[in-house]
Amino acid sequence: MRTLNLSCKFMTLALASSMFMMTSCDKEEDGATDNGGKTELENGATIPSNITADLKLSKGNIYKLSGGTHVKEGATLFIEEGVTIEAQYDETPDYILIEQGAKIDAQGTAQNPIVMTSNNKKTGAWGGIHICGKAHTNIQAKTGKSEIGNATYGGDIEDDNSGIMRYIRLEYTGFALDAEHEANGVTFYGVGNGTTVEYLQAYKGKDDGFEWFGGSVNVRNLVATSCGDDSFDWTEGWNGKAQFLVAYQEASESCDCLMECDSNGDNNSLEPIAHPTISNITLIGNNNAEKNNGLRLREGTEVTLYNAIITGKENALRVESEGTIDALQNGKSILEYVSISGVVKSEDASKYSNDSFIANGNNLSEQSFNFTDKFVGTTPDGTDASQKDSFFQKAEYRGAVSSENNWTMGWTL
Amino acid sequence: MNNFRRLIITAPLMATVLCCKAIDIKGLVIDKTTQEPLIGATIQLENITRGAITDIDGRFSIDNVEKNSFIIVQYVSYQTQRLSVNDLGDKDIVILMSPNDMQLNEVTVVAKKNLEGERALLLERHKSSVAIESIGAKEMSLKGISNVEEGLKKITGISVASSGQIIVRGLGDRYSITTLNGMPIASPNPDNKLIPLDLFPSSTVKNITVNKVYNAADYADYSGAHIDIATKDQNGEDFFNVSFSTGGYINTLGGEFYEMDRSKSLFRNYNLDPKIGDMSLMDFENYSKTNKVFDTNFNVNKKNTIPNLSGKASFGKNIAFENTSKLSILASLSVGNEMSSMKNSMVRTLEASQGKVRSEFYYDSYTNELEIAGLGSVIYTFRKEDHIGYTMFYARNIENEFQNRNGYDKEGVSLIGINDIMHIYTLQNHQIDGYHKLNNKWKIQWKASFSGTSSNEPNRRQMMFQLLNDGNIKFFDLNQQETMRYFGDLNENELTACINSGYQIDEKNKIDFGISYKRKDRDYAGTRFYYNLSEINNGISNIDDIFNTESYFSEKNFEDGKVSIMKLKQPRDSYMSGSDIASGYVTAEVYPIRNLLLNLGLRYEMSKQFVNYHNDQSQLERRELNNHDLFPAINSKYSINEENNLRLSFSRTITRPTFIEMAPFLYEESYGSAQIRGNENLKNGYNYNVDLRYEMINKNGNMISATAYYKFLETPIERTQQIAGGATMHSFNNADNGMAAGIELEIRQAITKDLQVGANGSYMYTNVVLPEGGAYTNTNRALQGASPYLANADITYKHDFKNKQQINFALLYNLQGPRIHSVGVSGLGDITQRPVHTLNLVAGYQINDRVNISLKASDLLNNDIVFEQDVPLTGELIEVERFKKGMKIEIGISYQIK
Repeated sequence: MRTLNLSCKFMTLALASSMFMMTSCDKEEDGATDNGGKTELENGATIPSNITADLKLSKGNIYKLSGGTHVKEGATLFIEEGVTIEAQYDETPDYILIEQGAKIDAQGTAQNPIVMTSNNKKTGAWGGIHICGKAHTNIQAKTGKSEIGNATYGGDIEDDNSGIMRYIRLEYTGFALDAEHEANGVTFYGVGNGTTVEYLQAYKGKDDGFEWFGGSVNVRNLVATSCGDDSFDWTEGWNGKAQFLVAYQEASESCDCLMECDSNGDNNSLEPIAHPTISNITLIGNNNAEKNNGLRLREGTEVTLYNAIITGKENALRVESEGTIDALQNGKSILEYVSISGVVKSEDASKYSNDSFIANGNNLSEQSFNFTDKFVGTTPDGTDASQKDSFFQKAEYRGAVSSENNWTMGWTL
Repeated sequence: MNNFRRLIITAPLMATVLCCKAIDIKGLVIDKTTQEPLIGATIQLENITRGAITDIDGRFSIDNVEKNSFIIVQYVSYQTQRLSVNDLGDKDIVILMSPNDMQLNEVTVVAKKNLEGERALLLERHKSSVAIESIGAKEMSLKGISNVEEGLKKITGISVASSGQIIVRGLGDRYSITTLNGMPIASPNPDNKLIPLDLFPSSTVKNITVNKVYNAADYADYSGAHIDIATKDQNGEDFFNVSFSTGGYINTLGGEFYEMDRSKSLFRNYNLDPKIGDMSLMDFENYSKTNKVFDTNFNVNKKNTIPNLSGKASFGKNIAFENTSKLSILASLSVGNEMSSMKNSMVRTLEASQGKVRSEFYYDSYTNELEIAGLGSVIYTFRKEDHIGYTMFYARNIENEFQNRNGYDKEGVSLIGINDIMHIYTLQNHQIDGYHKLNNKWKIQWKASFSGTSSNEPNRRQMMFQLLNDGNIKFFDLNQQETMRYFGDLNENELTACINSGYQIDEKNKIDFGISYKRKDRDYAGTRFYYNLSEINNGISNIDDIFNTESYFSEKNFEDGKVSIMKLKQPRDSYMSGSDIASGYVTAEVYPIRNLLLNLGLRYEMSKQFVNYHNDQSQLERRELNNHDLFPAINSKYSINEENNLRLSFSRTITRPTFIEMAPFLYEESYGSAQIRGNENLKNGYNYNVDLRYEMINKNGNMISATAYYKFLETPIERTQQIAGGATMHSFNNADNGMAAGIELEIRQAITKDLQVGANGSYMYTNVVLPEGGAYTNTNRALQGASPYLANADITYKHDFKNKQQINFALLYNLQGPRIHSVGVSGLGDITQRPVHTLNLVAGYQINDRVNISLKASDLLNNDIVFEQDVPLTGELIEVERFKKGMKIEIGISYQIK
């Protein structure tokens, strides 16, 4: 496909006896040039609203984002290393949404990451990335709609592939989409495990850093820095795998949970119950008095978690709801080689308490930790998660970033 | 005001002098045996189509009656009398009527009927070729009904939901239409199809007629009811009336009352400076650093409750001209305020698998209302029966509500919230109409109306605070939307015109046909302002007084950037929409056999609807829905005898989606309520209606009516739910099908001359089958808002003493059965409102012919309104909402000069 179906850039309204007529759209062909089957967008151009054919944002270029961009079924948005996307700070919510059946192929490098930011370097300036896939969600209707864009997600294709994202820094997301919603950095809606997600940073977003609504997508090497709401958040039955996650909340910022984990708040028994498998995480709060929850397991969620450090919150590990606590008690959920500051806060200590937490001998409470460069630092004696699942890399320590292997170097802020 | 009197007396005298052959006759028509006045009896001049109808007191008058002529006095099931005018003289005469079983012949009623009285309306109902029900000004006054909404609740099968939505036979707001003097009227409320009916105080209303069967002369977009509000017109003696009333809610009076600071009184609009609305985001950020944007803050003031006060004044005057033409003028104005408060109301949400409470808030609310309504009517009557009229109606309701709530949200955070919402509805309606009798065969009627309505929410304000474990309070700043302001403006204009003509084939059979056109335009825009308080919040250890937060919004804090405001007017926060409906109809009234009246009708409507909106991507989109439809209707009446009728009706009607329903833009109904996103694939729904009614109406105003109905709803539009971003979002879908069936009973019986009892009840069954794949738990359920049973009962007592003194009492009971308040999702059952019993008492005393005092007590049972939710997974029924407005007492005095 050679031509772009681009959105109306100029619209005029003509009032003719109270009926509004829309003048035809001026087709925007801003520097659309042919390059090996993909259309390439010229440096400095505004990314079109609807991407219906493959489109490439070329290496090192700067592009503008104004309003919502939807990548439609069958199309792929290619973003090369070093590309900067600058959302225009105005009253239109700017966001990128990958619809079901569409793909994003955004591959930066550690030396030359892709940067998605705003022309107003302030938290809450733009609307982030939204990916809608065809993997499961546990909501009753089996499909749902995205927080913005009214796009459908959900289904039963667990290996669905929404593309590749690596080495991307998302800055200042969290735009107030409407009276109820703010935008996350990246939102995964029913994203399947055919998708590759690694080396992403959500930096100073107003809402969550990364949020999963169901899906089975696996993720690696994610950093959420000073995101105003939860650094990581899952609900609707996410059951993917994750390794090397960092949440860091600076003292100057007001931030909520380090990781807020639900299966489904409306109905804890809806299946599949959320049960991700996670290894090597470092979650560091800023001891905010009113936002005092670290890893918060609730609303029926289950989890398998290895090699974790959680600190900087009064309730570094908080467990709530019958389903969640039962799963911890009966071994459906696994916490191993987890070190926390303070003690476990449990809604039902008769079933699961700090004592139950440390009973396995390798979980530790009331720990203190030392980090260099915000979050670099691990404690020894972890488990080798690669023995349990081939997705995981061998990293036999607690925490996400060791000084020997600082994968956050060069591309994060 | 004595001038009025003089005028009445002198005008006929002059006429008499000028034409010594003519006299004026006046008098009283009563039942010979019971001596009771007969209302609605016709007095016709023989050989001329002129005459009069007796009023509520059985009185009549006819000017300029030729001597040597005769009058014919008729009343249903009474012996017709023929009286010589010479015998009557110009004194007050009394005509005694004897019962008779002779059939009443159709009389052409040429004098204007006074359709405010109960019996006159009953007679209309009896005569009508379609099944109707009505309530007149006299009955409303006797029953202490203060506006049209209250009046409708007295009619069989009608209830009003807490949001003000009218539900007829279990069918929601979308299934009914409202007209004002027969002309459609725009609704300023985007959530409802019908205009809020409390805008119309009873003092401006002649009667309310409810037509639950379809007649092809009407617009076809109803299946529940066509509610027509007829405004008062000058018809009878000249008068001047003033009245005052005062009172209040028992729970409110004497208690404390709160509201946020206001820069202007409720009489004046508070508008957002357009300059601010149009500023870019960045410009506004800079501007708001150094300029004061709003002239209000978030302070909450304590006031004393003052008793409710309302005043009404109206006058009517006839100016007679020599050529028998007449100008009738009526003007009415009412102004009233009301303060009400509700304490300790509760609302909570549940989780489905265990029924545990997810969030729970208790709140106090304080509502201050100001209602203004004005009516003006000028009617010029000429050529005996022709007339041209102009009617103007203006209403403005302003409601300001302050709410103070505390509880915890779904994440378990303890919160305190305060908010203040002002809502202003205005309506301005102008109508002109004419009626021309061309000859004995042909008549023409034309009408045109323009209405401008608006719904404004200026300066909605909210603040949220977090209550910490140590008891300290800070701003809740998790989301930037927590401390905010909102300004919303919605304007709707409606232009309608129609012209109808009637041809009288012979004495009984006739044909009517007409064309009509309706155009509606609406535009809406909303602007939000979010306060960023995070920075200042970090430095606060405790907010001492949440009602006094002014100091945090100091100029310095703005300048230093510790507090900032973000203005947001997204493209999708506004829309423009419109509709055009052009239609034509033909109806024929024929008697295939002597006692069977068939009203056959067919209507054609061409409708165009559009919405211009912005999608989430901020792109302009347009959705159109255009249709051509035919609507047949058959209304038949079989007169078993002069008192008993059997009626059977069939029709097909339409339900069109409203503007917000047919386009997929995000919309929030009102503060804190659900988010709604319309559906671009939504189609019209079609309704097939069958009604069977037996009706007995007799001379004494006694009545029994029994109705059975069945409606099949093809692709009905239902509100559906889905999950969007983890929250429930409401939308609209065409359900596969639905149905409503029921029986209705209505009885009115005079026990003695003074004592009357009335009752009505309905039992209904409704069902709708929804498509699979929604978030809702039940795919097969009753229609939302439908109660399986509804009932009304009343006892009225009225006694006349000598010297024009009168006392009256009325005790009124209303029962509204349980009903689905909102639909349950994600495995939770539906939320049901428990049955509501209401008892009102009204008493009045007419001291003399000028002064009347009254007492009214509403909601004597003083019950809570309670909502429960079913939790199928645990089998529990859990209370999820409770509030109580409570008992209200009012006293009033009115002074009238005739």
